[in-house]
Amino acid sequence: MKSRFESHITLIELGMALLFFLLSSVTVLELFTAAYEQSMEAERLGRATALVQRCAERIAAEEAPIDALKQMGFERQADGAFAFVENGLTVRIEADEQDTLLSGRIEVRDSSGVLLEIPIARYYNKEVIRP
Amino acid sequence: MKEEGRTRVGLGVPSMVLILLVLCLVLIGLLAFVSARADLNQGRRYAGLTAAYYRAAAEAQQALASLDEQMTSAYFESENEQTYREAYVQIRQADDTAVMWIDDDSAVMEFGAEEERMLVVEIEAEAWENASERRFRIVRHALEDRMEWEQEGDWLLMGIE
Repeated sequence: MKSRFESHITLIELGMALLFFLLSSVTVLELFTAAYEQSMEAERLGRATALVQRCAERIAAEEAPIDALKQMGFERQADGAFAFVENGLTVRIEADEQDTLLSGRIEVRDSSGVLLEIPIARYYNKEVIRP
Repeated sequence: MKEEGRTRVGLGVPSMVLILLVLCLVLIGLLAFVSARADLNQGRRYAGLTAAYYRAAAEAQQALASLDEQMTSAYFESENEQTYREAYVQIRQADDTAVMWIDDDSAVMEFGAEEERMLVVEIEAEAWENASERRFRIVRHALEDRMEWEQEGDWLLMGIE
């Protein structure tokens, strides 16, 4: 009788230990999943920032920014914007080139939506002839 | 505990080892989470500052284009250095908050770029004879930190006062 009681106690203790282990495993898994997702988001945001800077600096520095974009691999879309895909990130540049000013915006997005967006403007100094 | 010559280990010791193991896993998980969150916050801050800088830079370029347009009109309307200067005096007196004229030929433009940073663009107007080629020169284009640092107290750095 005593032996049977002891084995019941042992089983209950074992069951409680397993339950505790299961619950804590779920918590630990959730923590690691959340950490992984945040780490991936930080990595995507870092890459988006670097891409935006690369494009903006190229536009600011080149004599012919539109040609420079084409050299970088950008392709003109049906709506007139330029787009480029790199490692799952899509860079989209809308640029309106007037006489002395190029203005528009750069947008980087992934499958979840827009990660980063900045305005761009570039002033061109041009020689003028008096009428 | 010895029973019939064999040592019997109850469930207490494995349970304690299990609890210790789980606590270690939770601690490692928490550290990974806190570290990833800090990385993400840092990334967001950096992305925000980058966007703020380029917003300020775009505003500066638009202001320069607008100023160039006004100075080109002044150049077209003028006949010589004297009349050109008279024409762009009116530009200097215009209610343009972005452009601050330091003297007759120099102006400064400032654009906020968040966290007490300012993009400062300084220009110098060209003389009438050069105005056909360009109306002004950009002599400075710099991001300045306007944060005021306050000394917390007297302290020694590596023993040097």
